[in-house]
Amino acid sequence: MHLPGPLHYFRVNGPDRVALVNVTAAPGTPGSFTLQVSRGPNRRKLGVTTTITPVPSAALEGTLAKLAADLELEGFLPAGVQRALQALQSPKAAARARAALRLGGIGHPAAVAPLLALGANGTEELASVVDALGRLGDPRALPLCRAEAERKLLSRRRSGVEALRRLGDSDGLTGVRVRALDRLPQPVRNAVLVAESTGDPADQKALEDAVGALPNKDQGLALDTLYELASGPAVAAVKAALGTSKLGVPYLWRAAKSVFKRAMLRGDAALFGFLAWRLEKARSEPGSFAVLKSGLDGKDRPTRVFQKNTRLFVRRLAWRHLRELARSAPERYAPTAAEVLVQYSDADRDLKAKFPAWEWSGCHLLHRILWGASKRFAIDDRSLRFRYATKTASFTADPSEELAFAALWDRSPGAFLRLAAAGRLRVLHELAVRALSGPHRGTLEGAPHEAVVAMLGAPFEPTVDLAAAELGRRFDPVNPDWSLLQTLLSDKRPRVLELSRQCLEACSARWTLDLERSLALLGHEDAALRALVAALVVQALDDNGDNGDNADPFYRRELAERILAVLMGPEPSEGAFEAYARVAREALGPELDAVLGLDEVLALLDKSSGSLQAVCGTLLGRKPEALQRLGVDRLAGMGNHAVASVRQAAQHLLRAAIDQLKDDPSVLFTMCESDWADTRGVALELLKTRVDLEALGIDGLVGLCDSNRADVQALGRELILRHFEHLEPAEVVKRLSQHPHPTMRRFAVDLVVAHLRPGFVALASVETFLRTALLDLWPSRREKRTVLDFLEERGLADENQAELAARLLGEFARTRGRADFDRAMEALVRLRLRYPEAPSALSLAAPTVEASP
Amino acid sequence: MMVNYRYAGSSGILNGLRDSTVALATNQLRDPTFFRASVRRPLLFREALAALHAVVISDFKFHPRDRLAFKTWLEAQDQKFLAGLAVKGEKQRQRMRELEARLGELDHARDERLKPFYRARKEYFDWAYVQAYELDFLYDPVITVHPDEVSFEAFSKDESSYARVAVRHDDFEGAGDFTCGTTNIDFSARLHNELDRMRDYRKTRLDLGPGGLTVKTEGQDAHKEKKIDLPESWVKGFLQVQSTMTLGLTHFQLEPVDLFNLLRFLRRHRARVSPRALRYELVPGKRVRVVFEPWEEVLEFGRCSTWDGPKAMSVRTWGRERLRTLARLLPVAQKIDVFLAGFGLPTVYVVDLGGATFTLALSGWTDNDWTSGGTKFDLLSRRMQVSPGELTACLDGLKKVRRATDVGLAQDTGQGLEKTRSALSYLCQVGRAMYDLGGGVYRHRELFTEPFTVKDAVAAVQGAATAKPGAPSIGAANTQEASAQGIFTRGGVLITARRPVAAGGYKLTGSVKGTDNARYRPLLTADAEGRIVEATCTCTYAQRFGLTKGPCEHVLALRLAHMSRLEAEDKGGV
Repeated sequence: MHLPGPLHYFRVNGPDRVALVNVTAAPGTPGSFTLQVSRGPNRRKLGVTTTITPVPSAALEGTLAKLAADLELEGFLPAGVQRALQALQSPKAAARARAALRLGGIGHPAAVAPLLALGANGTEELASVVDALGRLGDPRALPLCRAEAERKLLSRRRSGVEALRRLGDSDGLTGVRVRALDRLPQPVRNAVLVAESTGDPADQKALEDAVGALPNKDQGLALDTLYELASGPAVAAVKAALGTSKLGVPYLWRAAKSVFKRAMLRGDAALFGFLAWRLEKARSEPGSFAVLKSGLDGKDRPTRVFQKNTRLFVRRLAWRHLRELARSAPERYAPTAAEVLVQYSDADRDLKAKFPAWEWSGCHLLHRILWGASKRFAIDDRSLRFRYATKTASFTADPSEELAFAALWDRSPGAFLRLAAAGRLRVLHELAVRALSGPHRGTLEGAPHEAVVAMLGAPFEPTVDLAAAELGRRFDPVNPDWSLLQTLLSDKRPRVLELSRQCLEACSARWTLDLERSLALLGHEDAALRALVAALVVQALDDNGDNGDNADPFYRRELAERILAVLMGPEPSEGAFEAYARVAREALGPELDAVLGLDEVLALLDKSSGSLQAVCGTLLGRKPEALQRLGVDRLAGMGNHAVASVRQAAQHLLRAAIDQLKDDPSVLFTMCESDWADTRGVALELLKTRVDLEALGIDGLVGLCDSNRADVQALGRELILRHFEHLEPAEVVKRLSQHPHPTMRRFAVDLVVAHLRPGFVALASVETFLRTALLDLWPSRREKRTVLDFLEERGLADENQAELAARLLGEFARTRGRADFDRAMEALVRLRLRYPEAPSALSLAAPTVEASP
Repeated sequence: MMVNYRYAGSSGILNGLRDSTVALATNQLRDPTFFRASVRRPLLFREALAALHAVVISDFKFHPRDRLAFKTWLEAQDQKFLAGLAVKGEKQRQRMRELEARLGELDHARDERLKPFYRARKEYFDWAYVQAYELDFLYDPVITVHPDEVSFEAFSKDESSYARVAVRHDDFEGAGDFTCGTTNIDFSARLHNELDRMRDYRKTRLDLGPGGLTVKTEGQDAHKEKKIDLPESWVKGFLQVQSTMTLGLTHFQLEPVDLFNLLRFLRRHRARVSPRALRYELVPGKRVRVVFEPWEEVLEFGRCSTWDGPKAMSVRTWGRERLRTLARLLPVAQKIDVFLAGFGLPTVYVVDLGGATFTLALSGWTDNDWTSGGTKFDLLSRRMQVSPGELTACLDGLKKVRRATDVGLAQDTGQGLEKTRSALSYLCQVGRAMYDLGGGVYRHRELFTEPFTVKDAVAAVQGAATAKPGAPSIGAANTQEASAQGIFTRGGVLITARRPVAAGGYKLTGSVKGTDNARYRPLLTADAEGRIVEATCTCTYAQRFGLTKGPCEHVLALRLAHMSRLEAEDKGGV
């Protein structure tokens, strides 16, 4: 348990002016305390001591309160109160204001009456007095605060309104809201009212746009007024505007400063953290000069706006506020500091910093919070930059050792959770993980699901592991925590979705047969998750069917009807109903078959979403009567349908019509040219295995070879080779030789060489083909040599063929191919020698006889 | 320039087992054009259209490689290296290695798992590419039905190659049913694949008409509309091609095997350094030789390419890779006529396929397409002032007969030969007529949907403004020609020498006072028809560009003076 420090009391009159209450652990009785009350004329002469021991920890607070009440009855007041009360009488307004704020910070009720008295005079320090009264929370301050909340002057109104908020004066705040809405420009007023009533992100965006559209002069006031409204959308709009605007703009800076002060008064840690970071980030932004009307006396003066001194002031103010919190409201220090820290990211680092400065030198507030207790750094007060104190400054292994007010972090360990969930710096996660996996493990275990799930997005692996382990601990597949699962499912981050999938899979037995839950999960936003859900539901339904013991036909029928109802509705986006359709197709075929007749299926095929078409395709395949109704031609057309299951249905039905297709396979030839490989595959398979040569004929076989598709050509070649002995070789050769495809040409060359009829006429019919083979720019050597040999062989047969062969060979010999030149020339010479009369490009010279010496 | 196409159906081929129909849907927004007949030699038709398709989709312009992925990888490697430098302890390095190995395993597993997805995505992208390509980039060819032939004209994607397939009516059976005219056809990638399925043993019917293949189904609009942002350069390119063809070109012949050797060499050799020109060397009485730069490899063509010109010349042409589009024509080609315009100027290859002709016109080099950099080949062709009435009369005369030689048309219209030639030159340059280089005749071919009016005629001859969108400015609207006209009008041209040359035409030298008041000395060789064959000048423009961007104002002014003298001689009966 946290031990309170020594409590100091003071009174103006009396023999003992100082009293000290000290709390220590009671020796020998663990969990108990000893209270000592010492008195004396001053701190150094404390004599009379009262000891109360042992005090159980449960009674400690009450005992301390009783001691304080007793001392107050004797005229003692907590140290500092007396001095502050005296300072309220100071002739200087600034001193009175500081005293008032000090009293507000101490929070002693004795300060209320003097503050009210001071406030009634309506002096310069009135705003500070109202702030203090607000913090004191005494209802006697209500009239004064309400009066101030109605003031036109911004500083007074701000104090009045924020004090009313602290006092919880709902009536006063209602009036504040009405007046604030009146002050807002019309477009912003309308937008904020809409956004508050709907909570729609689009309306929120409209509000932000409306604020952004205002001129600078009005925008500042509007922002302050919106923050005064204090509703969620209004605060979000303020945050968005101040996050993107330049702060050094006249009128806007005034509002930013006011909102910053309001955030401190209101205890709005989130906005305070954001603005403190934003102000630090704006440290290098140029300010401006402008002639502005003073809020104090209404005069126009040239004014520096957000210049260097102002920037330094507000940065110091931010830390001062945190320090003040540490003293007066220690339980709020760590959460507020955490809100500041989570704003920083690596983008705030100064990568060009050189020793003795370092990368975080310029981040004053971050430095103060994280390394406030460190001896390694020293600050330059004029620039608020930190530097290494010595050349040998070393790193520390435990970052918590250098934290400012480290003990306060332990008092509010929820702040570590916030760092782990939203922090972006490695050092923050190191801090958080050390705390949450060690002394504050209980905090993590008691954290809401959302906070733990948020940790999964951390840029620090140990944080993610910690969160995953904690979620694993919380999730019980046998008795799943549905709220946790819902939290996981509503998060769109990949890591969380992955975890959701694992959880869903682990506890599938608990939900796959739950109608509502299954339907809801099948419609989840994430497609991968939907697919998994569909697979699990299908598996569960299949298992039921196989075992038979859990079969619930009523459940299946109800599920089928509900899914059909969903599918009949408009699909929000393409593929959104895919999971429903998969379950329907794979597990609920018989149930849907009973619900939808052939006419309905055919009607839905034309006018429904892709998912429903897929279901209808499956159902169509289950209806044999569709073959009679549609006929093979229409089914062949459906083989080109974009939806796979419709194609499969068509293929299935066509297989059933094989007897008809055996007689007239023309439909299969059409299907061979389908763009869809599955349809082509079925057609090719049927042609290959079920249709005989008689039905195919030479036209059909060569027609297959004529295709532009390689797989169809391959089948054509295979079938031609299979049935070649029953075909007319000359006709086949003649037809195939006209194919422009190189692969088919190679096949045709072999057929020509092996099966071309003898004689000139046959050879002449393939002249162009042979020429094509020889004059191919991308030739195959084997093919070319085969043609050359073939030409030589045919040329040697008779003179007419020799003439044709010589013409082709002569032409080829003129090509600049070195490899086959000899072969062509040799063939030409042989032809020439055999048929000297046949025209040829080659002329033989008479052998020269060398003269004998 | 937004051009609308409206087709009542789609082009396609209906391939049956014993017959097939090539149905080409024509643009309904143009004059109705019909042609129905059976193709006598489908293989020839197939190869010619395949070559046309190769030209249409060809893009030989230099496209820098996309190195984004490589740079990303390189950056990752850098970061890894730097991270490795920062790690000092062996333990951490070991850990790092373990993690990298694990990462590799996970990446591999992910890739394996996603393989079907990647495959499907690629298939989708391929499909989307083809669709988008077809809709956005493929400019439908222009088809013209003439009384003696059907022609298909198209430009390559890079607009540097022009192709024309002309199939004579003799190559069709029963070609009596046709209506002459010009239109566009719906030309898709799928059509090209289907065209490859044409065979001799299947009776093939060409059905050119608005309907195409579409069978209208109930409740479905069978019409297909395309709105293509046709670049102005495409239209201008068409006209520049015509200008080039009417020039006096150097001509020789090739055998198919010569072209095969040329293409084979190009396929096997890839130049990595400049120069990459194809240098034709022509020596009178000798076979034409082509030199492949930079290797200086020489290829001598066959006997039929013997050059019979008056003097030796060497012509360098660039963008030789574009010739590969002719590969499919090699087995069916009978001869190839090559026409050279000059150094760095366009080249035209006319492939004789027997019953058909394939014309491939290549710009000077690939990056310099037919219109880039202000190319003005039209200035090289004949220029003599004609009146709008004469122009209209000439067009009407040509429209009536559909095709005519300049002499024949001069007789028909009763205008002088010189006037007729100039008028035809103008008509070619405004897209109303074309010159068939293979046939040597002018043909009526309306490139634009709007009819030619008197206003257009006035605009054409005065050059004030072009009447049709996208049509190039001709006449005095061209800067050079306007300047030349000005120089000629104020008498700044002096012909210092004019002598006839053996091949016909004149060789002229002159002294021209330019627009900058400086004197220049142009030298010009004009052929018998007044077309500029060669020209040089002492001005900076000519020194810098030669004729690759058209002649300079001084050469044009000298030609105007020459034409004026020719006209006077024409009238005087000299």
